[in-house]
Amino acid sequence: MTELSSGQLDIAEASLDSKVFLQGVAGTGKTAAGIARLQYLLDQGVQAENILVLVPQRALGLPYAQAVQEQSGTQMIDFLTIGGLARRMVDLYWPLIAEEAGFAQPNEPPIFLTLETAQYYMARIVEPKFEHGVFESVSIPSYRLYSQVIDNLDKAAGVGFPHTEIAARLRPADLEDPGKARVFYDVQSCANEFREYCLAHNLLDFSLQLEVFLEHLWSPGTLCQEYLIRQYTHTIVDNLEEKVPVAHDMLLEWLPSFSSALLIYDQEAGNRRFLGADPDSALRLSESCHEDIEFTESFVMGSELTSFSESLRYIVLQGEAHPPKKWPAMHELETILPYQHHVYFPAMLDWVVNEIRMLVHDQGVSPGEIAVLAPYLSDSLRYSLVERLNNQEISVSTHRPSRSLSEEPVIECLINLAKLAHLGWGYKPTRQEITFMLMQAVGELDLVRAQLLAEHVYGERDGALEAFESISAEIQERVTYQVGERYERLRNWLRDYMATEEEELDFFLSSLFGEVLSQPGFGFHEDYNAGQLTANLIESVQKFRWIAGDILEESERTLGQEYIHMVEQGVIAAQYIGSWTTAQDESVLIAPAYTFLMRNQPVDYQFWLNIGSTDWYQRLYQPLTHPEVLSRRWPEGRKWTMEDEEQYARESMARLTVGLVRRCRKAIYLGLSELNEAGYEMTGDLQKALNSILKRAPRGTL
Amino acid sequence: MMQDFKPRPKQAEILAYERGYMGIAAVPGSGKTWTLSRLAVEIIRSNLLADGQEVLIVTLVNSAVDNFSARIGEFIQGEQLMPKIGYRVRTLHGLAHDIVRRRPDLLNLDENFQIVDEPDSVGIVEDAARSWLRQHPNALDHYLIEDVYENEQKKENLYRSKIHEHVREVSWNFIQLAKDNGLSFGRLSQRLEEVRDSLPLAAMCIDIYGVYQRALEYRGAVDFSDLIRMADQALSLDESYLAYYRDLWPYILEDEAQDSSVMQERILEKLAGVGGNWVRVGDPNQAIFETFTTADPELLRNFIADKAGFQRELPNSGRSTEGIIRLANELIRWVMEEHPVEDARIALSPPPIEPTPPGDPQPNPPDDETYIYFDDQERSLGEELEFVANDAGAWIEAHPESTLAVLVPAAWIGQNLVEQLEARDLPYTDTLLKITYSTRKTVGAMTHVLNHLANPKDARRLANAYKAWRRDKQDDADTWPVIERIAKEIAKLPSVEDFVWPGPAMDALDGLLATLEDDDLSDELEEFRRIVRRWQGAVLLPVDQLILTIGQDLFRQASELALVHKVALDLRRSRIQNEEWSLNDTANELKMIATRKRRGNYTGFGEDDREFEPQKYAGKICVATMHKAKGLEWDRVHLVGVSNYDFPSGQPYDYYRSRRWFWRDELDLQAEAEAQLDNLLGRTDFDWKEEGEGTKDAEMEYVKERLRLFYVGITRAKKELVVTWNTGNRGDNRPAAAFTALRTYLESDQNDAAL
Repeated sequence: MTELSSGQLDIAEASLDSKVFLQGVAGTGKTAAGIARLQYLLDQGVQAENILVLVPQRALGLPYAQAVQEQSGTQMIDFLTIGGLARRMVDLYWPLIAEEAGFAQPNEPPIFLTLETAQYYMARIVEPKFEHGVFESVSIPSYRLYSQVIDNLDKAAGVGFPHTEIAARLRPADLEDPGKARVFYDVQSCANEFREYCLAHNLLDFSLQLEVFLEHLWSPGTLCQEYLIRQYTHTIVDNLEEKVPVAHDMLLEWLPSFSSALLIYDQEAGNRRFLGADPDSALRLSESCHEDIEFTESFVMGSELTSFSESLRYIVLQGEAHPPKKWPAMHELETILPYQHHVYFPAMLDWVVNEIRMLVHDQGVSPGEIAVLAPYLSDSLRYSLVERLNNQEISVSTHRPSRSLSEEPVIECLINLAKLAHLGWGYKPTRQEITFMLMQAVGELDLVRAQLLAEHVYGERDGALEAFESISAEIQERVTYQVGERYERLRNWLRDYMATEEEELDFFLSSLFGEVLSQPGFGFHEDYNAGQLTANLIESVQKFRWIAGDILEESERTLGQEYIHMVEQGVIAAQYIGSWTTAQDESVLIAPAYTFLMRNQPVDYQFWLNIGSTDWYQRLYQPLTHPEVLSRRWPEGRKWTMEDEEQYARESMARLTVGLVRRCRKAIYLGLSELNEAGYEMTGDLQKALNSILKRAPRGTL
Repeated sequence: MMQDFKPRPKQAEILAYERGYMGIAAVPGSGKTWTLSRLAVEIIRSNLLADGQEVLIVTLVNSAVDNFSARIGEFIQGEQLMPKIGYRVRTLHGLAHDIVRRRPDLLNLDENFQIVDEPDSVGIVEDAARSWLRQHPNALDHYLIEDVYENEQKKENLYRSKIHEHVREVSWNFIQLAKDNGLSFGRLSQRLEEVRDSLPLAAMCIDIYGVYQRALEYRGAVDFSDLIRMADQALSLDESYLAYYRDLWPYILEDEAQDSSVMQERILEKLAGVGGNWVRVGDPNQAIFETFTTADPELLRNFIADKAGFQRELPNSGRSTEGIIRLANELIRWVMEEHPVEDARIALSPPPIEPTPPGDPQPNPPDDETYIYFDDQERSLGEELEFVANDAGAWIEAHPESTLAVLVPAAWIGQNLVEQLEARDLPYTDTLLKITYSTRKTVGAMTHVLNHLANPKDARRLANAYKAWRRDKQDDADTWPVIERIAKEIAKLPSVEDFVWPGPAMDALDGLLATLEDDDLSDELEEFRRIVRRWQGAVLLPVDQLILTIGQDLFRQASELALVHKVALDLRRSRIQNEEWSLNDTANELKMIATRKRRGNYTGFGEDDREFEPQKYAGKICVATMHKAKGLEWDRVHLVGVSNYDFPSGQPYDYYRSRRWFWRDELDLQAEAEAQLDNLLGRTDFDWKEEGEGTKDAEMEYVKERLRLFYVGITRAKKELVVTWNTGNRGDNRPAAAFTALRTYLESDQNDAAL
């Protein structure tokens, strides 16, 4: 166990009837104190099952889980998100509340939807309406449209207003544009219809889980509430600011019943505001605690980075923050903020890779202590970096949780193998798809040899793979016998599978991965990313299997057929939100900046790419929803103006960039090119802010 | 070097500016770009800007954007720690894009809204026009000349061959004009209801406008005019939005303000606000982009006269000899005092050009180097071009260190001249004629790489990909043959994989080096192999990302990257529509674009936006249109085709390009449609334009614009000027009135002495 400061010890060892509100910025050791508290509770003989640890995302509970495991080995702690808690309770008390909650089949079990399965149903409801002119005046990809309607339902549940008020809240009082008014009307009618459909079919998306839980289970005197109060006597809530207001409401009611509580609040965070998180609402809880303690000392940053973070915050928020105690001097900035100006984007990438090479190979820095961050990480950018770093023999892990699963080459490879193994489904891969599949599935197979092989062994007409031996000796030699041997193993496995009874798609994928692809000599062997993606796909299929029964009967398709059909339609796997697990230790992390922030693991060196980009502060414009207008802070009917937009942008940028600095120990390299990937000139506000800091820096001795 | 330059007194007056509205009338070669860049620097330096604020510089074309950026960057080098801080240079389109992009939701646009470029927009109007003509087959009959009107066969042929194209042209221009005036389809169609019958051309154009607009909405797209209209709309819709931009850009500097459109003036006026800071520089005598737009040099003249708190001039020019300056000034005088048509006399205006003062670091070339020749001999176009080719050829051979341009009134004449030059084996450059050149080249290079990826085991395709990768060396006489030789050897590789992905036993690179007998090429081949591996690995990415990844290795220029980005997005869309598409199909699609078989979505987009530098082409004959020559200068300039066809003067014998032989009464239907638009906009009966008036007005505007074009042509010359004319297709053209006037001037004894 790492050594704790006295402040952290005070928190950890507070009495068993204390209620503490602990706040501080990132890097001040709040979570470490929380973990120590958890260990202390266990040490004091509190039973693990009586402790509730609430986190905004399950992955953020991992440090707690590890600590408990290290200490007690066997004890299980409940790490829950508010959604997880709601779901568990609805599941448990379903027979008692199904009817009063309006479900049409109270005697049948509930079906819980994930975001993507909810999208699947939303698509079924909305798609037929397109023909009738619904959503005519907006032009966005349909999967984005579905997800925004679902988002509105989630916001209603999380903020705590009836879902029938979505349109009324989104629509400013002075709206004159009939086109826009129609859009809000369409959003409302689709949301209503989706809700009715869910009630009729026992489907519970996130919003309905939350609403049913709060309205029917979390009421005074209900069995459920009594159970929860009895069960959990101690709680630790981390990242309180990242939770939705109804979660805060519930905690306010619950707090008096806990023996002890530690509520941890990250100042200046609220990174999930676009998902409904409400830091202001969270602060209400401080008054219900016995103590309100603030941590101010950073365990991560040195004094130079501290001055820099304060200056950055001050500049970005245009004076709305405290001025820095000290402006960082030029010679300090030269150490903690190296940058080089490039006109073109690829030159900037080369510079980044070269600097990383020097850090790793010349200075012996562990690649795991380096994170390359961009506000938006395109495939091309990710690939270009990975390829360049791999050329320098530096291992890389990338993480993009909101990535479209269906666009991952690994997923395409798996789907094509599934098609080959189930020719009866009626999908035949093209020769090019087989080439690309082989390139990935067979270890160390390049494009040229993969194409040679595919051309000689694959018949597009019948979808069959021929034996390696059947091709000419010359081609065998060119492809190499080693590749041939691996190919044969894959082919034989498929052949054996096809000779037996068809499995469900998720089982098929699981065996394929375990028995072939992850084995030595195959493409996914020791490939962390491929393994993770395969797991995500299997999970996605599994969840689809759980909910799709009735529909499969209706469509007369098998699970695999319907799943692949939906993937190709862009409905399923279009927005798979997987959560991360711990990344590999010895590799450079390439991730979107927000993802890194939420991961909450500091590194020694960060590289910020595209600092001229406006993506560092501009929100994603979603024409069918609005995170701020739907929040509790927003007065009904008020128009969202440019001042609001600017304020929001400034706050977002401050949260993001200062949050990143606070998770950096040594230096931040700035990747700067005048023209972005698309050849557009970019001079965004982050670049201006950094320039201001550089200009203000006292010029001392260099 | 620039930093040490001491401003002339007139420039210094401008650089002393601090705030308010300032209007500056400049003359050709007076250094207005330099002065404006310098002024931007003064503002940035003088701490007039708060953190995050920018000087906004608005100019006309992309090449000028780069030019401004480079100059300002050079001036403030070392003062700002990061590049491009404190200023932003944009064309009006770029500015509108910035404004709309910041809050697309305000305008009901999706985050990823598309912009339809001009050729695409023309294509959509063409479809709409075709379908309109099908539904209204005889709608334009009463505009036909009698001979056609009465002959069904002729009429039918004409509709098919000419009229449909003309309708497309008329309605496209009409739509753009309507948009430039902020007129939506809805508003126009509402007004049209009552007066439809009396305004048949406007009705036709508005119908087509409606179809066009629906097509754009269907694509989730806007065109360039929409972009500008929407920027204007956004600034009016939301006061806070306008306030945001006023705060961001407290100073607005506008170059080439003589070509400012009504919309540009409106947007900039809004952004500057009452009591704001707005500097407009331009030369009303060089306004040559007004036809079918709302641009008008009067806007700048009025601004200088009525709105500007400070009026300044930049009259000194060190570009030309005094002889050339006198000639240009004589043109201004003649137009103002003696032009045969009174209405045309406002085409040019003072200030006249003055030479630079003594001691100026940019002195005019010595006057004894002046050579001016107005050749009045009657020749056909072919003969004129022959004469020019011979004359220019002889001159450039005698002056290999000097620059020479032949400026033509239309690009096709330039192409004819190029044939003449080629036949004589004369050195020339036609870069300025070929606006789509770089588009084809960019897309072509990408096609070669995709072709390789579609069939990676084909050695010839790999060789082509290699040449595409090294194509920037094409003009390098030393390097290119080496590249050709390497490519030839790559094409012979028996198995590509042994070069790109060699196994432990065999590396084909060794064999290549042995054949090439040059070990120094090892690095080159290693580098290429590395790049090819990167491309091959990228084939697994979605097609747009693949294109962008390759693009990073192939292209550097902003225009090329922007084009690649557009191609990538379009291919992604095509791929979604054609799920089965292979890389081969994608490469074929690209090939169609490169060879322009696919309708010209891309022409103009990748327009070479690098600045043209005449000095780089010393010893070569530069062939360009007069329009494209704006802003440039050569030692000797030939002006071709200065007859009353391209430079009419409002005389009964003049002929106008805009007239089509098949319309009765020499009507210009474009102009008539515009006049009907004016009528529709509810002017009083007194203002109502009768048929024919629109044509007359448009012709007068054309007369004026062509006088300014002639002025622009003359002022391109530093020392020598040769002006010729031809009798045209019908053989009855005569020298332009201005030609004759200047020739007479030159012939007068007094001026002969001066020359």
